[in-house]
Amino acid sequence: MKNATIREFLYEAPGPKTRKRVFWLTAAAMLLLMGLLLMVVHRFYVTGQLSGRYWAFFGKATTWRFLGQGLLVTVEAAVTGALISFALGFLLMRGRLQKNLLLRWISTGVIEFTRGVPTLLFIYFFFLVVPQTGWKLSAFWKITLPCAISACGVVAEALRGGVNAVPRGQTEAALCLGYRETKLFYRIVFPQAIRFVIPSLIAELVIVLKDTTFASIVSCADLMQNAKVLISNYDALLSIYLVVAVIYILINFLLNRLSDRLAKRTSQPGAAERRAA
Amino acid sequence: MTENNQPVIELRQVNKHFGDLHVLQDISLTVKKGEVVVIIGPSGSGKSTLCRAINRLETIDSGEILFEGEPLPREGKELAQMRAKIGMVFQSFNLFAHRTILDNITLAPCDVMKASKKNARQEAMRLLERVGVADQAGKVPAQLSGGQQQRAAIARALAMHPKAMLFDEPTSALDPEMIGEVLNVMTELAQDGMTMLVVTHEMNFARRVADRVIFMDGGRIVEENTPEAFFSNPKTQRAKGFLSSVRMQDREL
Repeated sequence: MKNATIREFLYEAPGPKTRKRVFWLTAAAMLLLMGLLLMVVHRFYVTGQLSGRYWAFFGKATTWRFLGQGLLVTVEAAVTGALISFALGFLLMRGRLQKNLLLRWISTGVIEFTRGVPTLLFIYFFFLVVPQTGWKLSAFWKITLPCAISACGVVAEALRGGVNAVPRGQTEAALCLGYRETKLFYRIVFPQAIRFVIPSLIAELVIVLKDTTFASIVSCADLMQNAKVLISNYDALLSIYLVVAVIYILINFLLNRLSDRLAKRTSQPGAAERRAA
Repeated sequence: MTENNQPVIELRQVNKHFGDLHVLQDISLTVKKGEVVVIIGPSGSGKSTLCRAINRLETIDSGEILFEGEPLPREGKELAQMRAKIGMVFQSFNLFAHRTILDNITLAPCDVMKASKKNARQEAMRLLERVGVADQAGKVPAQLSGGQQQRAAIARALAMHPKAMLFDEPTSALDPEMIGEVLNVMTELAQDGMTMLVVTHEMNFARRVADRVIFMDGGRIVEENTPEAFFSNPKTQRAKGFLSSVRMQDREL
């Protein structure tokens, strides 16, 4: 049970016939994929996308420094945005779990609103509407704040799910020991809830990171915006998008790996201690 | 055992419904200081609900529950303070899953009674020693057997210096070979003079340790007697039926 993967969980162990079928189907799929890849490379070759002028500038340090600066802004915006959304989400979750009806309604309303409105609309709001009120925001905040607001409702619901997943008996035991609501929440319930939701929170961080690619709208110099600058400088669309995509995939892949590891470490209480022993 | 007639837990005409189901019907019951009262009865008879109502994990519809002569507070700080004086042991242990066994014992004394960390630790180790799981202090609950977890849960309740202890089927979730170790701890506790209300299916324990046995069925207290009288000569047909069916399953009784 402890080392069971989802696959073992859903399906029975394959027999000899199934194993043979899986082998041949896998081989066929691999061949198909390789064929597709070859076709893509061939098209690139035919259309001249592989020619030196589209790739030579990647040999220059300035290109990488420029992309690096953009990447730094992307990471800053994503991390700041995610942290803000975690904080807002926490408050909304607390609000939604209150006994006070008004607080609960307000929180539920905000959660549903932020979950329903696309990130892009929030960005336009901060880009076009907010400046008219006289509130001067830097480009960085014009992308970070809407991304955070767009994510906070989802974060709130993820946290609420985690809180609800903590067995009722934990609360009852604490009540019987004389705990009162607030302390009970912070000492007993929330520390257990957070273990359930770490994967969802990291998934949300990935979404915020991807949302920050809208930064070019507000002319914030993130990775995507700098990539666009390079594209117009070198007139090289495909190669640059390809490289930038790989960078995004790499970061998100690492984040997802981190999430898996954290989930494994914390999902079962005592798992870490057992490994240490 | 100190018999000084002072009631610790008192229920007067308590009624409770779960929807249409009348789970507690005119329950009146007194547990005196140092007394061990065992509640037995078929499942669904309301015995667990009765146990949980005493520290307001279940609310009641009418009647009165008194602890040390004071009516049970309805909410807030007063209720929490009252609960802290009543130890509770659950069927499913309910140890705090994210904390070590030692933390489980020290958490409430530090958070609720503002005990110093050092004192709480010393006391916790003493209690863990007493229930025989001191060597497990650094582990988390999931690493312990059911019997060890339940003994640690008893230690956790004792750390609050309760005036009475409630046991809600403390051995029902245990493998047979672990029941004895938990019952032994409970027996010692009874011999030390703890006031106890125990809901259980362990007839041997009831017979050996109880001062009084209460038989519940269909939300009512059907019979109340000393264990000798109850087990050798039950008065009601319901109790006779229940005891004979229990004996059928449990030859050694």
